[in-house]
Amino acid sequence: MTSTMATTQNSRPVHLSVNGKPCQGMAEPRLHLADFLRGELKLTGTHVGCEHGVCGACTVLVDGVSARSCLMLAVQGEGCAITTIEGLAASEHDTHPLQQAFHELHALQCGFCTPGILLSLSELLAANPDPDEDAVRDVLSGHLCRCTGYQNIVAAALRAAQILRERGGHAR
Amino acid sequence: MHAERQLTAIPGMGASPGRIEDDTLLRGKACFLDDVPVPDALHACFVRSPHAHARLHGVDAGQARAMPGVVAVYTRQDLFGHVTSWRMPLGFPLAALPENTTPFALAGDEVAFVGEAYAVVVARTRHEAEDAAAAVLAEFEVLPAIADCRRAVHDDAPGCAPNWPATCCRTTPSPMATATPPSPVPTSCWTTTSGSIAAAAIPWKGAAW
Repeated sequence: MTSTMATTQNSRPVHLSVNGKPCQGMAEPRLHLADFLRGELKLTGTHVGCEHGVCGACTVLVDGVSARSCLMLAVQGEGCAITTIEGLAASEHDTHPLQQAFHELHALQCGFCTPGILLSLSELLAANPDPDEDAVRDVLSGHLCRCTGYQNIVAAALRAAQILRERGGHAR
Repeated sequence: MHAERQLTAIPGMGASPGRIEDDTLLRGKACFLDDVPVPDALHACFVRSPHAHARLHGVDAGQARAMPGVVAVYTRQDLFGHVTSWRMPLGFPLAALPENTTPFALAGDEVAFVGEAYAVVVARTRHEAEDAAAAVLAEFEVLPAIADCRRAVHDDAPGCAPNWPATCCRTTPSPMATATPPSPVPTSCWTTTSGSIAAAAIPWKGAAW
């Protein structure tokens, strides 16, 4: 697995909240947040694709704002509230409307890019409960999907927004 | 109507079943290759050419071998006696393909494209492997390179891999290409045979990128 890291004399503790729970781990100053989440916290739902900020697979929410976790150092996460794909649904028995819509509208195939897309879209829906297609595509421009294509992803995002509005709830 | 009745009589036919793999994928619980825990796995990092074409006069891995966590550094010389060919095997051998078209496992005395690996570091962690890879020293003599495959077939194109004849880019259409209209430029190296030869042909007469 991603044992990019060994605890060394340079490692230091990082305290942060992940999916609503306080977490602590050790990180070398150069360790990026994605590897910290995956390697140290064993949250492997965050995927590392290009590792230079292009593909969007590693997107997480940092204090509610989407961020490339491959472009952010773990130590920069000190004190932050991180949301990963494992925390998108309220519980393992619940389904976020984005997850429901992606399933129903076949908006994923291999699923590697999906966690990052869901987190970016959840940010969008939190800010804009009724986005138009252009707004969805604008968000998706930060993500690369190499198998499904984008039509169904756009459709699923709009469907999720509709579900949320009908529920009168919030995206997260 | 009769046909429809027959189809719907078959269990599952006409239904729209949901994908059974979606739930784990959508919750981040799926297991991709890099998610598989492999205790004590070693990590490899390749050392790659920064040049499109260069003579490789020597590789010094001494400093890299002494770095923390490094288990081994292999260069072409270290493969001697352990491999049956310097080159990767050809997955689909074809009579139309000349021999010696596949990439080298590790480059020897010449690199022919940016990114061609000439050494590999094996270390305890990925970071240690990357650190040591950066410490592998190499002496290059930069040679002319070509970035346009159409130029690569010109007679005056700089060659590559001196062991090969300078005319190894073909100019004779193969039977498969007889329907192709004549082209104003000698595009033969990627039109005479299958697409796979194009990639193979480029390094013969110059580095592609």
